[in-house]
Amino acid sequence: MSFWLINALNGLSFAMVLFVLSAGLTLVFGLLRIINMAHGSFYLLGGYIALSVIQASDHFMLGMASACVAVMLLGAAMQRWTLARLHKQELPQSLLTLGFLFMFADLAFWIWGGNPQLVPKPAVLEGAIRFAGIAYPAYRLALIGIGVLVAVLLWALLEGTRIGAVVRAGMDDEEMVRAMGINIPLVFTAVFAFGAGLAAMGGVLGGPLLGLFPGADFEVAMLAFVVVTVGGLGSIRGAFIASLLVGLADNFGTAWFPQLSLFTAIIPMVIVLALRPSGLMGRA
Amino acid sequence: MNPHLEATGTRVRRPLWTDRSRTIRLLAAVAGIVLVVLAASTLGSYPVELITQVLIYALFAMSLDLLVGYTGLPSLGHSAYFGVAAYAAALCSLKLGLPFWCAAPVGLLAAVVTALLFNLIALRTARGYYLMITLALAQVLWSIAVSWTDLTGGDNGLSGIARPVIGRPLEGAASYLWFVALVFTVSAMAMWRIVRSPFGQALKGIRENEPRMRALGYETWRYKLVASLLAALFAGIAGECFLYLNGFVGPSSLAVALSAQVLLMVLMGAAGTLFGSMIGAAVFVVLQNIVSSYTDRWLFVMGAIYVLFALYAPAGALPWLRERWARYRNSVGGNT
Amino acid sequence: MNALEVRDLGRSFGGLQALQNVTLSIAQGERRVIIGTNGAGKTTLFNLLNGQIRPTRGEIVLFGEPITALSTPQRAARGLARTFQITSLFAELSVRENIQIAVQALDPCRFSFVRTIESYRHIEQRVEELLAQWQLEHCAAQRVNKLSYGVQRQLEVVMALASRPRVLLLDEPMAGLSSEETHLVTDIILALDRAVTVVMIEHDLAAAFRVADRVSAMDQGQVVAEGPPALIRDDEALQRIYLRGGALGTAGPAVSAGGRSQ
Ligand SMILES: Nc1ncnc2c1ncn2[C@@H]1O[C@H](COP(=O)(O)OP(=O)(O)O)[C@@H](O)[C@H]1O
Ligand SMILES: [Mg+2]
Repeated sequence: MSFWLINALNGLSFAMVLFVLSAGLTLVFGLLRIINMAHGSFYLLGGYIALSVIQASDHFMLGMASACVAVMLLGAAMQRWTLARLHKQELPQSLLTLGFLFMFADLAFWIWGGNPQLVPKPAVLEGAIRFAGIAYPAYRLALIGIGVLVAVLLWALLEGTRIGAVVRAGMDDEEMVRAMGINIPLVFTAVFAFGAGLAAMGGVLGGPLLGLFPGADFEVAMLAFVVVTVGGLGSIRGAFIASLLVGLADNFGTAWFPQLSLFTAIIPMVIVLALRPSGLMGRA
Repeated sequence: MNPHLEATGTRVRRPLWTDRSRTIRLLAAVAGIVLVVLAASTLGSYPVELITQVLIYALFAMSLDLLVGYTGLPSLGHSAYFGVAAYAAALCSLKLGLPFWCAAPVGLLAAVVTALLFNLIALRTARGYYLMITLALAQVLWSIAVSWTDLTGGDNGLSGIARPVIGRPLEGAASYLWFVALVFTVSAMAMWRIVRSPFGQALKGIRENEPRMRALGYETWRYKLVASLLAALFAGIAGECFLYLNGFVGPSSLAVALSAQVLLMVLMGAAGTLFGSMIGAAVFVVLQNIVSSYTDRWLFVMGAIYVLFALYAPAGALPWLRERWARYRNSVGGNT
Repeated sequence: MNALEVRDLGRSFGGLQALQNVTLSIAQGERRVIIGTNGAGKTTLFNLLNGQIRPTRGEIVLFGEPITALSTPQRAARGLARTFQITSLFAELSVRENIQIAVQALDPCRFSFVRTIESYRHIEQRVEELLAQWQLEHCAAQRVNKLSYGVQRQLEVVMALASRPRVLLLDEPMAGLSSEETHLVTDIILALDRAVTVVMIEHDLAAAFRVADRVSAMDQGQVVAEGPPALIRDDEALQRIYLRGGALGTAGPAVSAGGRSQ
């Protein structure tokens, strides 16, 4: 009984980190049609920056804020000066973002070294909470709440605001939005930066849980790719559902078949794509 | 002039002429490889090792070019076929004690079956998904190689695989280079045939305009599937050459980094030309060797190369050079 | 037996009923021309016929065989070929390669990867024959996206003819062609073996009436008139559709030109 509860909660909290990360990826894909290979780098850099700031200031929220801002600026610069020049050229875009993945990975290794490090938890969320006969880490519980909160905020932003309406319209028909006189390049840069910021946030949130180490960028990005394909490229709602599927599958899979960890995480993808080639919420 | 007369004239002459020039080019290519191998073997073990690597990576890159350059399928999971063939062949000889002549074909079969499974999933989905799905599937194999320690040796990989015995054991670096050169030549000729065949022509059509191909009557997914099986076969050959070169296979043979590298090799030269992939592989391997001997920051330099290529020569170096050359010729011609 | 039989065909896009209650019987060897204003649903009809999109209702029968459930390649294999209103070629390949791909499309050799394409003499011969017939030898080695629009439009038709179809669907083959090119295309269509059934969407009414055995007029997703060219030309309802809003700018003068020449 407690095995099920603990693993379900573990899966859920991991799923929320995945969701925050994948939401950025799917948003960027939906609007800019870019498969950003460097999305995991934003996660890793976000985590490392937060780590350094927290170590210096002893303040979790400050670490989170500075990581998000710094990575957003980085993302904006990268989009504005390089990616924007490769609009709608799928292969060169992949090549470019792969290049950034390698460069950032090496940079992070250079600055922060090769040893795995944990981001310190916020002081209030240290320790465990007792309920239903188990003691469960408070931080993980908080993660679940934060993930749901981010999902609701994103949904409200996309559905309820003017900028959200522009982004949604751009996903359907870029030319139309352009014809409406909206500054599409600016929107593109902003959305890419926003997506990068979400990845950084994922890194900060996941940092105390999963740790930061060379290769973490790619490990999480891979899972984000799976989430985004399962959910349907460009769909936030799909990403949320898919995060839950993949997060839970990964957790129970690792618990039961440790040798096949990633394999179990990918089973939802295989099943969903076999039934619905464009993902759960994807447009054909 | 009567157009029909002219047409008949060319019809008789053209194939004969191209046949002869192709034979000449083929002989020239083979002679070139023989010369390079000969030269390398007189220069000592480092050049021999380097040329062996170049040939293996060239073969690997050409196999990916069948997908990326000819069929228009951007695969980022090509290391899966390379690595699976190597692991399967290694397991056959280590755990089952099979000789080279059994282990090698089993390895290739494993690569082809992997490609079949991957592509039954990946080809069902929309075009934009292919890259991500091949990436994800390949990554699964990598993680199994890392975590299933009992079978795969985990991070330590599998070592102690003896080189094949062909007449005599290919223990020396030079004799193994001859073996690789032979495998490379035969494989390259086979791939050359494939892209010049009606099937290869259909692949190019799919790359250019898939809906039109369907309207013409091509069941396009069958072509894409067979193309990926063929690509996996040649990638598997490259993977086994690599296995016997080092006597070792580890998770890095399945890693995405390898897929990304080979993709860069293809795009560096010129996708869709086979020859371009060969050049790309050669440049990449040599560059890697030079840069790594000067600095530890090879990963950063490599990333920068990706970025520069994507921004300035997305169609590859060969078209880029051709364009520069044409511009230079024009400016010189304009001055005189 | 009719070559093509369409029964109560309908298709909607979201709320838009692009095609409804379309019923057509096209005899073997017939030259049928379909006219109609922009947005009448002509291209949608072709997309349904060759299986590119699925009908919301109705049935399509090709030489007595229901093909509604078949895929596009399966329909092509049964002898149904089409051209596209928006030129749809293999842009980076040469004219010769484009034609090669079209010629081998239904040939058993198309799946062979052990012999080079040049070793299939019957393919090569057919390619040369088409190049000569369409006077394209001079640009055979050129890349298609370097060709003039007119030549691209011609190639569009060559591609459909290459595999010797039984039913040929031509979507505005003369749109944008010079009068000289229009003549070449019309002549070749007129010279086609009568075993081939031709369905052609055409805005150039003079050319259309030269080719047509029968004409079907479409408006707002429906067939509103059908008959021999002479009858259709004098149909008052049709005149009204064509004049309404001037939606068919190119066809207006063509109607009167056709009328004057009589
Ligand atoms: N794929 C599609 N999605 C939505 N609407 C479409 C689609 N294809 C055609 N239509 C609509 O159907 C109507 C008929 O179009 P079409 O068949 O192209 O007309 P025609 O070829 O007679 O000019 C038009 O209003 C067009 O906008
Ligand atoms: Mg039309």
